[in-house]
Amino acid sequence: MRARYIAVWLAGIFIYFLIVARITLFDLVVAPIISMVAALIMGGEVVKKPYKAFSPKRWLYGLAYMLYYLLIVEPTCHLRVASMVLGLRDYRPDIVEVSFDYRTDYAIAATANSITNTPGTIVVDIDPRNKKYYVHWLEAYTRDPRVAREKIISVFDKWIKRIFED
Amino acid sequence: MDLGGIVLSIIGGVIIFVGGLFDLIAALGVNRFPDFYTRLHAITIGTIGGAVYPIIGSAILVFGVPGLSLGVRLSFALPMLVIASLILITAPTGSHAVARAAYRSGLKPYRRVSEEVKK
Repeated sequence: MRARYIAVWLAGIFIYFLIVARITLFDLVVAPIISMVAALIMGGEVVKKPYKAFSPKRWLYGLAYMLYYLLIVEPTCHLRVASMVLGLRDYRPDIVEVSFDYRTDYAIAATANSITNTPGTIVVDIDPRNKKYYVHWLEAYTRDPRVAREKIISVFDKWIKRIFED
Repeated sequence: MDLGGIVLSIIGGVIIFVGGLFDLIAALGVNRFPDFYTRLHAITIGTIGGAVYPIIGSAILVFGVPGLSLGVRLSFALPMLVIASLILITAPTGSHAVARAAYRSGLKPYRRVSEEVKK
């Protein structure tokens, strides 16, 4: 139970020092106190399974995913949609259903964010009961859910599962 | 200026320049795309390509500035990386909100005339 609060407390200290980018006596005193207040308010809600937050493997996967996402996925999608804007490439917009099989809210939110952050796909609604995203897709040449799933979320799927799922 | 500083400055400068191009393309896209949903894609280019990447580029550029101590460089670069991460997390939240509002209010996505005729 305490581990939840400790996870948020440590994350708060880490973010504090990233933002101030200095280590003085003042910061060494203030950072733990402010982070503790934040942890006491949010710890119970934000973290459900603290062992995940303390897993170095998940953090490493997260870092690798971030690099892969920023260096490969995003530039590719940007260039594709930029060529549509400039009239060099055709597009066929439509809203398609994309199923997912995540159990945690973090995985659902992270995948939705990843989809929306890549130009060409935007999540317009989520049906958590039937486990479906409704995605506005600029290249909806097919409405087959399996093909749409393969083209839209298979890039993120394995990474997100390793980072957030059990 | 040492070689490492020059390389970092060039990389950072190129990323910022490309970010500016993406902003221009995003502005063109908002004008050229036909409906609300497709324009959101253009806006995403402006948010990610035109804001997140230039901020990361600025962080890299700061490391190449000569005559600054490591502490000063970090005090500029690290907050920039935090800002870029925060934009990556918060920008899609806004997009989701407006896209969901449009979808639930019954706004239909644009289709080509030929596709409508086929149906």
